[in-house]
Amino acid sequence: MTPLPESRPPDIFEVLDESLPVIDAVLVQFYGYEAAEAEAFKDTLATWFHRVVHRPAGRAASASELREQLLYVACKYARAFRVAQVRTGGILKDDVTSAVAWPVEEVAMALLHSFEPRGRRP
Amino acid sequence: MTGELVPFPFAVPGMTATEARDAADRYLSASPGERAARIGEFQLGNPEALLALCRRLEADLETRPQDVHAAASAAYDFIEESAATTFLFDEREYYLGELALLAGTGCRILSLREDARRWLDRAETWFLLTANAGGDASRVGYQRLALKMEERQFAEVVRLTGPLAESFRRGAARELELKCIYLEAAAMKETGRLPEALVRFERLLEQGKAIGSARILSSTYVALIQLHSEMNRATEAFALAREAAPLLQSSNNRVALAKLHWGIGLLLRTQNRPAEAIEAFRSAQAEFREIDMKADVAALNLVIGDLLLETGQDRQAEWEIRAALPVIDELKMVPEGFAALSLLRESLRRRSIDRAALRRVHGYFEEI
Repeated sequence: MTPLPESRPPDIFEVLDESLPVIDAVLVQFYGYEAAEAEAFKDTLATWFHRVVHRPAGRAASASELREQLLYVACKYARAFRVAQVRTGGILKDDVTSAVAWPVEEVAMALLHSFEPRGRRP
Repeated sequence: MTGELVPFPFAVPGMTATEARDAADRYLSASPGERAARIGEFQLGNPEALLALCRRLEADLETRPQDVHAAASAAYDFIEESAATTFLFDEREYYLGELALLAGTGCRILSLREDARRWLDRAETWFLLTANAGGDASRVGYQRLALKMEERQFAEVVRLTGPLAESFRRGAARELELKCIYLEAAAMKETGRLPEALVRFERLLEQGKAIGSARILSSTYVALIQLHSEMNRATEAFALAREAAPLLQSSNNRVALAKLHWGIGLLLRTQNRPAEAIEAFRSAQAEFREIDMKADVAALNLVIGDLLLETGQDRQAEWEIRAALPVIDELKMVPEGFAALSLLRESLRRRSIDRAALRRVHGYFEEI
């Protein structure tokens, strides 16, 4: 994997470390993923994130901007894979109807607020 | 969101940074024919290899714009047609956007403006589908602004630099913020607001040093040298040229180096030293020719032609102008200067060059 650019402060690893438990909770408790599915999802997300910090816009982004991107992408694709599973018959529609009805922006925003002292969750 | 039937992307086995750089090097060192014939062998479906490739192409823009254009557009075509499942989340859209942006920037530097616009449209469209759409779309916005600068839409450039610079400031993209301010200052210089331009360029030089950006420093040195030349401040211009030369040589910024020679030529012209000025313009032209910047080669033909007329060398001047005209036609340059161009052609036909028309035509190129 490509090493971090020299100018990049190491706080991006903290972004990932702090966010993964919150993402795990939303995957399992909100979108209804199995624990093993959530693990695979987080592995993929971590690999993606390590590459994002090398993009020109990612190289300059602050820790809070990167966290926002990470949470948004996690929610967007968590929902998308759930919808795909419903359509291909992998899971029952009733199991995820209420979760996928939530706009991903709102779910991500709620996760972001959970990093604040008096945050709220979906 | 759209496209909801998304297969779960499992990360493909990793590639080390060295392997990724090697893959990018192999792709870049292949000839265009070889690239086309063996496109499937260059691991362009691997995001790590693409990351390395994009970084190399970005670094080469000021040195080999024609190669960047060719390599980026071939990689773009491959990914667009490929059904690779190795990309995670928004990566396919991001790399298509990034490669289109690189191809478009290469086209802009080469004055292939229609092609540049087409690539920038593609870049923006792909970036809209990525996680950081705002930040990446702003980078496309910067290239569009630079294109407007080259098309001499100065009022529009001055108008748009403020909000665009602000978007980069908010995203902590300091170098891009400074590049916007550079364009604003350059537009001011072109519209005769020389003192305002001077203040901005001098501040930019300090800011460029503060962030250690060779790109900002190179362009700003060149602009300041030209500006001091225009303001008849030979001492300041020569001092800056001496200060800038080592930086430009060491950073291998061939575009800026060529423009430095151009600036020195302008300075020598204002000092009434035509032979030395022509020599400096020829050096600039040789650099531009090496990197296939035909528009600038043609512009310098006109500048040299003007100087030759001034020194009574009418026949040589005619050669210079005749060399430039096909390129001006080919690249569809100076649409706003069409009347002046017609007058120039007519005067050439009569073998008595209309100097006012010549100056109006090359005035359309002289912004850098």
